[in-house]
Amino acid sequence: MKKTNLLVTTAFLLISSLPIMARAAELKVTIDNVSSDKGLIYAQIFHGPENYTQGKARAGLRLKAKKGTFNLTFNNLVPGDYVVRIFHDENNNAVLDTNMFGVPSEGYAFSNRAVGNFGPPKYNDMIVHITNKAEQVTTKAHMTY
Amino acid sequence: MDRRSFIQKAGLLGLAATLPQPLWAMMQGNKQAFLKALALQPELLAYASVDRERDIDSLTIEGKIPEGFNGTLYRNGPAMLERNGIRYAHLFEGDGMIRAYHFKDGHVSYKDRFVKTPKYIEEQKAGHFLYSGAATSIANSRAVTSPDMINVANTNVITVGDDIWALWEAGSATCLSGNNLETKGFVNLGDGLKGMPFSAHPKVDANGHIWNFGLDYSSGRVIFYHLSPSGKLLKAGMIKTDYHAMLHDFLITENHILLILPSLDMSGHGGGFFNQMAYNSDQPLRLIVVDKNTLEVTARHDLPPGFVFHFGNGWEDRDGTIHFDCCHYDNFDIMAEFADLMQGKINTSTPSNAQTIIYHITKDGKISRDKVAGNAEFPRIYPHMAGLKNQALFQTSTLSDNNWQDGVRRIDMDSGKIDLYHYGDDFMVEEHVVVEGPQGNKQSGGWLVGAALHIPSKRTCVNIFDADNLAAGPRARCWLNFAAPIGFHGNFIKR
Repeated sequence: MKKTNLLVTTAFLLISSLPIMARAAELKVTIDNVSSDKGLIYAQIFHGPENYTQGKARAGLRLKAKKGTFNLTFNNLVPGDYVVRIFHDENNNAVLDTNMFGVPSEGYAFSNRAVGNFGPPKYNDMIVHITNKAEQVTTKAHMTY
Repeated sequence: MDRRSFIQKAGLLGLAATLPQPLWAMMQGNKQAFLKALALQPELLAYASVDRERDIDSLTIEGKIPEGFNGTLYRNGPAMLERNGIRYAHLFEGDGMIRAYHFKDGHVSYKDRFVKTPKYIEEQKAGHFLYSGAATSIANSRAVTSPDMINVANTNVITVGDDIWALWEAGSATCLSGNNLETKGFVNLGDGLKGMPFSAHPKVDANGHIWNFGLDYSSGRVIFYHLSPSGKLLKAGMIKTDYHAMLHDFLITENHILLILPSLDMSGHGGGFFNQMAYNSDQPLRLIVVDKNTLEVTARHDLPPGFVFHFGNGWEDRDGTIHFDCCHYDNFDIMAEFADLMQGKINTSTPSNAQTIIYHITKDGKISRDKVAGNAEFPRIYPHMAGLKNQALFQTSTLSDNNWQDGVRRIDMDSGKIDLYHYGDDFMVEEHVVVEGPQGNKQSGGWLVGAALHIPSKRTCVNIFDADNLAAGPRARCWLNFAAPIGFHGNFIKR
């Protein structure tokens, strides 16, 4: 079975290395359709298309899964365009499991409720804009299993 | 993790189709055109949409059901072809319905149920189509992120333990109760296999072991499965091909898997997966021989070009010569004819003709072939002969200028002798399956059973023949009180 380490190298709260800002923006992500309390929810946030293309996450979160609707928040964000991608690691192996043809067999979700069609969503469909430095922005994501 | 690896995970989702722009008016036109044609051509009842489920306690029986003929004939086929005024563009897109004809001590009952796939459940709730299909573009259709989201489970049904599995070739098998036909859900064959395609033509050998394949259209990779009689995975393995089009059936021999790739490529220009496929007369029909133990390729042979939906059986001699039969088309027009039917257009001038060809391929690659006269499809054998040299090959046959079969025949593979029964122009004949008789595993005796739609009375009947004497006609004919649309494939189990 194909597995690739996901988020592990980039995941954990790189925000600690960022300059502390007195008034920073935050992005709240509301994820619906989480199927169970099993395992963990992993989320990565990307700032701008180049970082997304290169897989350079600005920050990552790892939280215990909760069935139903699930909230998480990225804070200390500067104004700009962001993309969030998420997966539900139900079996706690720190990777998004896929079948042998590469189709995910665990839940995954994207900001802006973006959904791919025979492939991942387009970058522009996932973008969340943060326009000023003290803004609190909310986006939704739909977990697909 | 880099983006490429995430794309591989989130992106390689089986079907390579890019869906066309909405053709809303055309699809509404499909239904209107079909209804108009149906008024003039009652045989189109075979392709009418079903919107209800039925339970019938007792079928009217003509003749006498043979003693010992007890069990259930399960059939599957596309049945929900329309929702909210929209009719699918291709017959293969419809939601599957299981029909169960239960025979007990001379009495016959009937039950049918739609396969409650996630797609069926969602669209039933919405009251209209939500997803585009392989030929139909639905306006504002929902995104498809995995093949099972549009799995219609409409092609075949096999028995696995007390359950039945409804099969579709691009996604998972769907498990239902063999008794009440309630859907239990997709079959997950194990770690790394969730959502993998499990073709609609598994082969069950004499020991009850289940062999099957699945094609990933986007990458061309093919997975092979070897399952126990209870449906547990014993092994799986993959090979790579450069084939990306429809692959409907395959074969096993005693030691090998025979994967036969039709002369199709993806150079078509229409919308949807089906219309992107095209017949390529310069592309050979390619035979890939795979070792059943290692699941690795042992030989490849190029055969004359052709298209094949169905194979009856394959076997091998001690010297390694491989033999198999196929229902062979010289082009891919049949696929368009299944689309035309949806608009009520029946091709009566030059309907596609499937000729039975028996191939012989020696170990050093010498190819010879025998042709059997006539137009025939839906080949079946005595079930215990799968992968072994079969003496009898049963098929449905087209004797008149119909667009569907109107007879059944048994070919003696040694003498070439044909035993034939012509139902007549009033009938449209579905696949017939062989039921072994009380004498057990022989290549004679037993029965042939199958459904046929009687056009004048608008009723479907199930017919039981002595397998050794089809020409004598059915020993029993059991009538439903309605016309069941034509189904594709099924199997009989003695319970």
